[in-house]
Amino acid sequence: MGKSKVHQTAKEYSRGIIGGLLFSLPLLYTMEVWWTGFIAFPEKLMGCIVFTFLILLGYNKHVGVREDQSTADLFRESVEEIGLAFVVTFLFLLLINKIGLTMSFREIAGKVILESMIVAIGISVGTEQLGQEDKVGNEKKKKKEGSTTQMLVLALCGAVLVSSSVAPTEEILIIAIASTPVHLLLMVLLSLLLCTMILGYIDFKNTSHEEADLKRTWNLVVISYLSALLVSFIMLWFFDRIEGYGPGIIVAQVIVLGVPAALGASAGRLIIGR
Amino acid sequence: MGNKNERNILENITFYSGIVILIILLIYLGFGIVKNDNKPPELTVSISEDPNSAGTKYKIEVENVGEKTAEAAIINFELYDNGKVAGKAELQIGYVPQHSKEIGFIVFPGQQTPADSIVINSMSYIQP
Repeated sequence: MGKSKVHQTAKEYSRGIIGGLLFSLPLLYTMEVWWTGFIAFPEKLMGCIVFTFLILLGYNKHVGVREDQSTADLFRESVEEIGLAFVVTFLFLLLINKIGLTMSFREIAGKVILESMIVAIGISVGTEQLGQEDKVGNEKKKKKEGSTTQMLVLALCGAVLVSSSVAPTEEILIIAIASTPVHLLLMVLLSLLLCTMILGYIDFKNTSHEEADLKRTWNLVVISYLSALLVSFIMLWFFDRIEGYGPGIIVAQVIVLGVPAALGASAGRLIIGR
Repeated sequence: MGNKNERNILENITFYSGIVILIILLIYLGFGIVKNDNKPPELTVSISEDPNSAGTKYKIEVENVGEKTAEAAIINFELYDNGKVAGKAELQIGYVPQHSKEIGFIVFPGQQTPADSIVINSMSYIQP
């Protein structure tokens, strides 16, 4: 029995690692992320760990398969995921020769911390979403769906996972500089339109027991877009695109990055949520 | 990832490893925050000649002994032979992180005999 449990855990971890790599490979191959890792101040790296840990706690609480999990269980699960993420990221960066013996501990730690945060969220999502559901006790384990907090957590996770692959690139700044106010306004409208279409359409089709509710859809759109803007701002801060830039450029960058983030917050939540 | 009260050995190893890694990193980062060392990047360059090369080849080791990363480092070298400049070279490095070392090479292909000396003419870098 013990062996089969270990086997089951190994399968869960494997699923998580696949999920982590699936979502984070673009970042592991992006030089701007390596650079940010060793340029970033310790405060920023610590903030990065805390932010990711909160996201993991939220995701495991609101999307995890077990309803009867205690806070200690959630904490334990999140630590396991973040620990796995550190190891996977370290080994992968070693494999692609982006960490080595001539580097200081500071450089290695910075690169691993920054990269492993997306890997950790990917591991959490992969563990929950890539496997088959348990056959026994499934009804008991199902979470209540549709609470505002759950929607917010899913929107934040989706926005982080989708926007993280473009957030560190110089192109966000270049597009922001080149965009006129008309372009930016159109980007905001496009983001809202995407959110409305995705959330409205999918919910109307899949929610057979609920009436099509315009107010609820608008609530979801607002939650998704605000989550997208918040995640965009935090991402830009992580990747040093806030300090030293004027308010106009900062707002423009947030709106530019807000397009993929909004897509992630609305469509991503349908992929990563149950 | 597992059910409470029924932790198996793999879950325990992963959890305690995760806790240890997290604590080490948080203490390290906390120490960095408290220390708050704003010493700017400071590059030191060491040069050694490669006796096996056909021309005159030098191995350049650039180390950042400061507390901040140096970006876009450009180091200009001049090769002297009998007191006269026999060649010039430039080495560009994108980033030299704090307490890390980057290794590069410069080659003066036309110089078949050992020169008197090689000196650093100028060095520039920015703090990102």
